[in-house]
Amino acid sequence: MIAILALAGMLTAAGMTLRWTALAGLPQYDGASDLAIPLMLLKDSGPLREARERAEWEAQQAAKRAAEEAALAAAEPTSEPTPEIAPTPTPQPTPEPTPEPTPEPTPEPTPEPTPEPVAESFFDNTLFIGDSKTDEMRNAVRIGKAQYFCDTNFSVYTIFEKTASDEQFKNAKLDWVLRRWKFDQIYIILGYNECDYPYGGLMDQFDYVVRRVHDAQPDARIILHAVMHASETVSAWQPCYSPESLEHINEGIRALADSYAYTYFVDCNAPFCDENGYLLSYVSMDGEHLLPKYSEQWAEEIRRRAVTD
Amino acid sequence: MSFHSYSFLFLFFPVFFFVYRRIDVRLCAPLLCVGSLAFYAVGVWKTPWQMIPLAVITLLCVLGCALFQKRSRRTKGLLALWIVLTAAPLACVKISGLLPGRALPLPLGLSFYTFQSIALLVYAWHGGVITPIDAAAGVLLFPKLISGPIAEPEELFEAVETPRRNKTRLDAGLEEFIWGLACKVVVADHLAGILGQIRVRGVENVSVPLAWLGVLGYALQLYFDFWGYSRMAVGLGKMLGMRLPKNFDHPYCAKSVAEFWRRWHITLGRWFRTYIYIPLGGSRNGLGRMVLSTFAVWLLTGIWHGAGWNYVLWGMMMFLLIMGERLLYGYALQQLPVLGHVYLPFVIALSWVFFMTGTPAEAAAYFARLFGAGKTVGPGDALKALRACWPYLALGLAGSTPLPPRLWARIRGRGFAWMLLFGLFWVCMYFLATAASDPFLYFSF
Repeated sequence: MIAILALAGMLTAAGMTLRWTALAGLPQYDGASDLAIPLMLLKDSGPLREARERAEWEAQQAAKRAAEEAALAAAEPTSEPTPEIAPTPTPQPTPEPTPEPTPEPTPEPTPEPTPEPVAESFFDNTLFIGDSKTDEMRNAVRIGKAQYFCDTNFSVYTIFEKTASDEQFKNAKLDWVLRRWKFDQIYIILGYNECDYPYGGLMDQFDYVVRRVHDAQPDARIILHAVMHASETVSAWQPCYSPESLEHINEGIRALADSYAYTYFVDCNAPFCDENGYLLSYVSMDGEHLLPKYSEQWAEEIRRRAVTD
Repeated sequence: MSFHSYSFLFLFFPVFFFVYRRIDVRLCAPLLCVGSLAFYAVGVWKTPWQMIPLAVITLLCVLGCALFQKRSRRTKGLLALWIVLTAAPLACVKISGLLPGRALPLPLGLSFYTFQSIALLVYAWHGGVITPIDAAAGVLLFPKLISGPIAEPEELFEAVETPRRNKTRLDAGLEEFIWGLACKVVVADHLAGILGQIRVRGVENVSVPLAWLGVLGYALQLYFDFWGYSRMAVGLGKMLGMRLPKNFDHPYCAKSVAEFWRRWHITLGRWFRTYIYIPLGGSRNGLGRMVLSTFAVWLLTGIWHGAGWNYVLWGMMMFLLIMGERLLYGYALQQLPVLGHVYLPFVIALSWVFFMTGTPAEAAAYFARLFGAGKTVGPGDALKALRACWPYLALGLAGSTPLPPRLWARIRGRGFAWMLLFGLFWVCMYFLATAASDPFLYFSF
C-alpha cells in the first residue's frame, strides 16, 4: 500500500507540472485529475502533437501572409500619380415631397415549399468529416459516391491527428485525404464530443479546422453542420448535452460559417427533435445516435438542404 | 463516490484507514457510521435528497432493533409493521416502474440497505442483542452499503464489534481488492463496448453474429462487473479487519439453474430463502406450497432487479426453468454433467437479454435477431466488435473458471506475486485514466 501511495504521489506531482507547462491551454485535460494526466499521455499524446502541429501550421500561414504582403509592396510603382481636380457639382433643384402611399394590408406569408432533395450524384465529390454519428449514417446509407472521414470520438481537437478508413482509403490522415482528391464540398459534422470544452477555445479550434481544410481545398464549399441534439435522458445525465448548451455551440458555428465566403451552415435537427429540442425517443435507442432508419432520413435532410450555389 | 474512483482510492480510503487503524477498537463502530455517511454523501452530492431514505431506513432499523431488545415487544404484528415501513420506499419505487410514465428514481443502494435492515430487525426480533450504534453501523457499513454483500447479522457484528486489524488481514484485503478492481476495470468495462455498439445500432438492426456476441459479452460483463464490485467490498472489509461474505462461486460452472443461483449473488439468494421462501412454507409443506413459495421468490426477485416488466418476465423465466429442473429434467442434468455445462451457460446468457434491453418489445426484437428474423444493417459489425474486444472476452471466459484462482494459489505470498499485483493495480489506474469507466451495473438494481 505504501508503494502504491508513493507512486501515486510522484505521478500526481508530474501531472501537476505537466498541466501548468506543456498542457497549458489544452482543454482535454481540464477535467482530469493530476494523477491521471501522465497515464493519459502514456496512452495518447495526440492532443499534445496536434497542438504543436497547429502552432507550426499557424506559423507557416503567418509567414506565407507576410511573404505575400512583402511581394505586393515590392510590386507597387515608385512615382506618385497627379491628383485629379474634382469638378464642382451642379446644384440640383429641391424635389417635391412625394405623398405617402396608403398602406396596403400585409399579406399572409406563403409557407415555403419543402425543397426536394437534390440528386445523390450531387454529392459524388463530397467529403463528410464527422464523428460516430456520421459513422452510423455511413453504415446506414452512403450518399452518392461521397467519401467519409469519420469514426468514434473524433473531434475538432483530434481530427488532423487521427486516422480513418473508408472505401477508397485505409488508416489515412485527413491531410492525406485532402491532398489526394479534389472535392466540390466538404461537410464538417463535429462538436458533440467536445461540447463540454470551454466555448471560446472550442470556437477557435473550429475556426482553425475550417481554415486548414480551406487551405488544402481552396475551391471547395465548406458546410458546417449543426451539432445534433441528444435525448432528455442523456441531457439529464450530462448537462452539456442539453438543447440549450448544444444550441449555444450551434450559434457559434453559424457565426463562423457567416464569417467566410466559402463556408455555409446547415441544421438538420428539426425533424428529429421535439418542441423542447430533445431528440425524439423513437429515433434513437441510446439517446445520441440515430437508428439506421432515421440515419437514412438524416441523409435525405442533408440532400434537401444541399448548398447548390 | 465509487470504489474505482481516484478520489476514493487515493483520498477517502487512505485517510479513513489511517484514522481507523489508530483509534480504540470501541470507537470503530461510530467511526464506521460517520465515515460511511460521508462516503454516501459524496456519492450523491448532486442529488442530496437520496440521503433522506438512507437516514429514514437507518433510523427505523435502529429504533426497531432497540424496540425488540425487550421480549414483551417481540410480537408478530410489530415486526410486520416495522418490515412494512422499512420496505415501503423500495416497494413504491419498484412498483412505480411497472406503471407507464410513473417510474420514480431509485436512490443509490436502496435495495441493499433495505434488505440489510430487514435482516437486522428479524435478528433482533429473534432475541439477538444489538446496540443502536451496531445496528446503524450494520446498515451503513460503506464497503457493502451500495451493492452488498448482504451480510447475516452474526457476520456483521463479529466484524463491527471486534475488527481484526492486523497485517495479515490487510494484505489479504489488498490482494482481494486489486483482483476485484481488475475484474471491473480490465474485463467488464471493456466488454461494455459490445452492448454499447448494439444500442447505437438498435436491436432490430444488428447482425445475428453480433446479437450472439452481445449475449456472450453481456453475460461476462455483468458477471465481472458485479463480481469485481463484490471482491472490492470484501477486500475493503478485510483491510478494515472484517470478514464479509463472498457473493460468487464460479456461477457459470454450475450444471443447473438452481445450482447457478446458489453460486451467483449468494447473499441475495440466501436472503430470499431465509426471509421469503422458508416463511412461506418452502419445500416442506407439499408440492403446491413449494411451487407457490418459489413463484413468490422469483416474482419478487424479478421486481427487485428492475423497475420494469422486463425484469418480471425474467423472474418468471427463472421460475419456469427451476420448476422444470425440479419436476422434469433435473435428473438428466445430474446424470449427464456435460449436458448441464452446455445447458446452463446457454439459458442463463439468453435470460440476460431481458437485462440488456429496456422493454419487453425490445427483448422480443432481440430474440428475433438472435434467430435471424429482420434486416441487418452494416454486415461485418460482429467482426469489428470482436477485433476490439477479443482479448477481454478471452480473459472473461478463462476468469469464469476455477483455473485462475488455482494458479494464483501456487504463487501467492511470494515477492513477485506482490509485484504482479502492484503492476495490475497500475494497469487498472491506466485504464481508468484513459477511458470513461462504466458505473457499476448493479448500482441500478
